[in-house]
Amino acid sequence: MRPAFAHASGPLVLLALAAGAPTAAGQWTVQGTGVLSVMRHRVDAGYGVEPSSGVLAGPEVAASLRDRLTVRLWTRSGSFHADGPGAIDRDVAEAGLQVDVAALRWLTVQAGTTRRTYLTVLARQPWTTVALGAEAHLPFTETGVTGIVRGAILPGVSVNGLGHPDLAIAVASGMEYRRGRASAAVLYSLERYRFAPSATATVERREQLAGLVVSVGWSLKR
Amino acid sequence: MRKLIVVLTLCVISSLALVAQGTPLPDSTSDSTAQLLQQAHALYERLDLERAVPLLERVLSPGWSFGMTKAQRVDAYAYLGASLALVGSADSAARYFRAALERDPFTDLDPRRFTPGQVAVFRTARRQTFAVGARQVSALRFDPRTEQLSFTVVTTHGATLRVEVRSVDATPGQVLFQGESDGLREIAWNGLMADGRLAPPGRYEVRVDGRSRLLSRSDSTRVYFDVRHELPALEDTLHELLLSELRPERYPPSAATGDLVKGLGIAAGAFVISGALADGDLGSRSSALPATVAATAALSGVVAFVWRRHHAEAPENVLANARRRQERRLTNDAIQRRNNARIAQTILVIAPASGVGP
Repeated sequence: MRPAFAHASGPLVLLALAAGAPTAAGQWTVQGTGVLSVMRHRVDAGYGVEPSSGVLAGPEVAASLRDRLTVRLWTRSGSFHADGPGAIDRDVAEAGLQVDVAALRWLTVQAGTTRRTYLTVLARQPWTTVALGAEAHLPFTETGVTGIVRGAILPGVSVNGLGHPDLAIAVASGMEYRRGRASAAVLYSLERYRFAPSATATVERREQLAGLVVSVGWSLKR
Repeated sequence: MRKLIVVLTLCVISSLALVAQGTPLPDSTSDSTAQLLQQAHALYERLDLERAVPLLERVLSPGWSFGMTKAQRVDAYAYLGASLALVGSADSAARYFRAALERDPFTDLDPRRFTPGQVAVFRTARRQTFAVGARQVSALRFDPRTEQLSFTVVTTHGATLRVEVRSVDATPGQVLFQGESDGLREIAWNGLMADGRLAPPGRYEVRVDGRSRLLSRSDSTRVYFDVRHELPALEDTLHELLLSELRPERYPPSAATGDLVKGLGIAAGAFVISGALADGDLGSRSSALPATVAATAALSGVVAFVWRRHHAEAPENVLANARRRQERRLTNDAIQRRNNARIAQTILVIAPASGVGP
């Protein structure tokens, strides 16, 4: 059984499709994007590394005001299958909200929050994270081709049964291609966490989610 | 003796009558041109020509030490001529009328105030004298779309006349009249020059050239006036686009290298993330996924490098520059149209002037 908010991807798909509908204000650009992620999950809670991997997919809707302010809303869900002994299959569902503010022509400051839930036959583990970061754009001379480097720290990470991590980062690097209203991107992303032993967890816990993120979008310029 | 007493009595009565009418007696010590002319007019009106003529002759004599305007001199000549015409000295009267006409061709005798005999002598004087005149332009403002400026010119008798208005700084002018004319003539000017354009601001002259049809004489005169434009403030057009305001329409050779470096940098970034930033304690690192991104980025860089080396032109910049030029041209066209509409509302402000200079 998947987490309840995994079903929120349905309405968001409709929102993404509705990007083709007229926007209320003339200055807004709405983009709908389909995201497919091939992820590898690694966790070591003191009992050895538990590797799993799988595909997450979901829609994203972004509304930009004059290319200065962008609000993103996304969900994705999927399943990770155990890749080794000791690992178990798990379902994953995620929903997030992020605000981008263009600080410079090539730099965007980002802040967002994500709610992710891992569901196994043994337990349900919700994660809530708050991220602060920046994204650098490296435009090529050919219009629409841009290199992307993204990095963020996650000062707020809340996980059931775990304390605050002493390391929580998210980074990504990749390419984005735009032509007309269509866009596509391919990035390699990584989230890394390290939880020091605490009153509730006597051993150090390391966790990492990395993978290839491919997205295809369509924007409506108004 | 009785006759002398009667004459003296009459003189006293006459003097008292003059005082009673408010006309001061001639006083050579406190006289002035205006006062003397006023006295002469009064004497003339009472047909006391024997006293009026000497007064007028005194005013016109070389020994007259008071200042006298041209109008006063012309007035004196005209009244002297009129007085002499009344007493039958037609030739002398004509001589003084001619003197008046030579100084002011606009001089005329009103048939309601002067006798037919005087008018006849005056007409003879006009035929014997040739002069052209132009009346000084009055200060006024007029809309050349709906109004005209009127010049008044005159010839003492029938003549071939040419009236031209032109800037004192440039020729040619605009010929307003060319043909036969006799006496007064009103000539209208619509404010346009020979090229059909509105007279630009500056100093102008109305030049009048006449050739007598009766005498082998020519005469000319000119009057000056200033033209000023009164119109709403005009907008400035946008300046020519500077090179620094336009995008480069060709990429420098370093641009291709820059693309290659960016692509390789992104590729390296993917490997750094999967290597140095990843947790090495969490098992073997998979290189397939970062390699996919790295290959994509590196390929993008190489393709961009090769493409840019062979295609240095920047068509998007060419288009953007053309768009800016077009926007500027359209904006300037609109400004020009608005300015033309304002210029079309120009009011000409006319002011009399003297001479070609200020």
